[in-house]
Amino acid sequence: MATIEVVKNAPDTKKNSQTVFLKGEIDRDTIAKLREAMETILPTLETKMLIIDLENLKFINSEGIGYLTDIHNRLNTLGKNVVILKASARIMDIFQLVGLNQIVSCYATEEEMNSDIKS
Amino acid sequence: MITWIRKSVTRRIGLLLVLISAGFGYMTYYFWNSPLSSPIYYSFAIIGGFVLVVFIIVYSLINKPLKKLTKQMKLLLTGRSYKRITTNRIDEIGIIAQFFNEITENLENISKKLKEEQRMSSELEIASSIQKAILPNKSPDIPNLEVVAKSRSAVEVGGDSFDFIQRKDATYFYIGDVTGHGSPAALVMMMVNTLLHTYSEMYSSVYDIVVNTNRILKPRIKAAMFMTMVILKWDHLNKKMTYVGAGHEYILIYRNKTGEIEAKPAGGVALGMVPDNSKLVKEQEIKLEDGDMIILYTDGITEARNDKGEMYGIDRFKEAIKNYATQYGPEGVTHHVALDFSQYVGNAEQEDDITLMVLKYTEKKEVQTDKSTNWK
Repeated sequence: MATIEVVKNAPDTKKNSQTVFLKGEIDRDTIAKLREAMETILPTLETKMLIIDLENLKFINSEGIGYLTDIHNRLNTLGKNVVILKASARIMDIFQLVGLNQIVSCYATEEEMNSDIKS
Repeated sequence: MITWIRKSVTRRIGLLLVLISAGFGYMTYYFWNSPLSSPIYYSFAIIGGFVLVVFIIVYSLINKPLKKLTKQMKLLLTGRSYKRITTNRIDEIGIIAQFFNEITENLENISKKLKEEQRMSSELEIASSIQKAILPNKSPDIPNLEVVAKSRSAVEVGGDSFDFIQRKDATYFYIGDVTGHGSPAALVMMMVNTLLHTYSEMYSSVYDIVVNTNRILKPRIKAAMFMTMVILKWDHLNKKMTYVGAGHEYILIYRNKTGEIEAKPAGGVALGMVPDNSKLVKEQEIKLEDGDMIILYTDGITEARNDKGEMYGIDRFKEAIKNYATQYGPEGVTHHVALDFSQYVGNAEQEDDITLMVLKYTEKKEVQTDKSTNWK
């Protein structure tokens, strides 16, 4: 049975960002748990940027991709933005096929993210 | 079905009591008047009579509530309407009554559920037949192009779809896959099918068709749903193939000259992801030469797993196409690739819908025989 763990860091006030780590797999069994965890985080999000760290995410299905897009769309209307960090090569391939990387900025490393956001 | 309880335990016990009391009565009467009477016989008679009285009390205590129970049970068994048994006894009879009440309540729930399931499954059958009626069951006749498409849903109604839309000087082909499957996916698939048909009457540019379809679709579907799609446009007069990708799998092109497979990312972004996709999708051309084939598929094929949990994968899929495309036309390629796929997957359960479309460009049109779009 697949599992998903959502870990929230303390917000980075200097960068005005909040990082959320998704660990495990997002599939038919875990999607509900992911939603539940994220829906407690999103309404209380105080920073302008939400960083979703996928370094320890092994799998994501299309429902998971749909949900990430939904998060992006909702935060966008509030003037906030979502960034995806450290997705594995396999997951990036899927994001590229579906076109998610054209909607949400995806970065392989923190340095890459920081330099892109500064410029 | 039991219609009548022929033998009653309580009645038998009752009869036994009558016989025993008659025996004791006779014995008491006999010894009372007998010259041989002794105190031992008297005490026998008294103890016997006492035991008998106790038995009769116990019997009447059990018999009445037991009758109440069996009455309802008989009604249940004979299929007539019964009532809950109201009792506040906490003894064995109370337990039986409780048991009866719970069982009958469960029975009612089960039969309600069963009726609901029957209704749902007949609705699903209807939905499935509507969907089948919408997806084409025959390949069209198109100048210089031979097309074979096959699809199979994992459940009654699926999220995979494909269609051929014929207009005066052009034919549009699309293949699509909605997130998840079942009824929600099928409804989205139907909406997209209708929109594509409608906009293909209004616009000839496949780009305009996709942008407008997305614009209408987005506010009408659940936020986390989307549909990946690739749509091809075949211009009959100029013999020109263009496409717009909406976040779908690769477009595979078999080059007849070299015998190699080219994999083009469909590009773009899935339908329903953003309100306006006009800056994210674009129309591109695929240059075709005589004998080239275009293969469109859904991830149900590449992501299917065998008994060991290993994925079929795009490399195996490409290899199979390459092997058969040198020997066969679209029919043969579809047939043999499907066979290769089934052999690999074996007895593993089909988890996702699978769809495959193969198009072949020929400068001289050949006769096509298998036009059915259903997998046997």
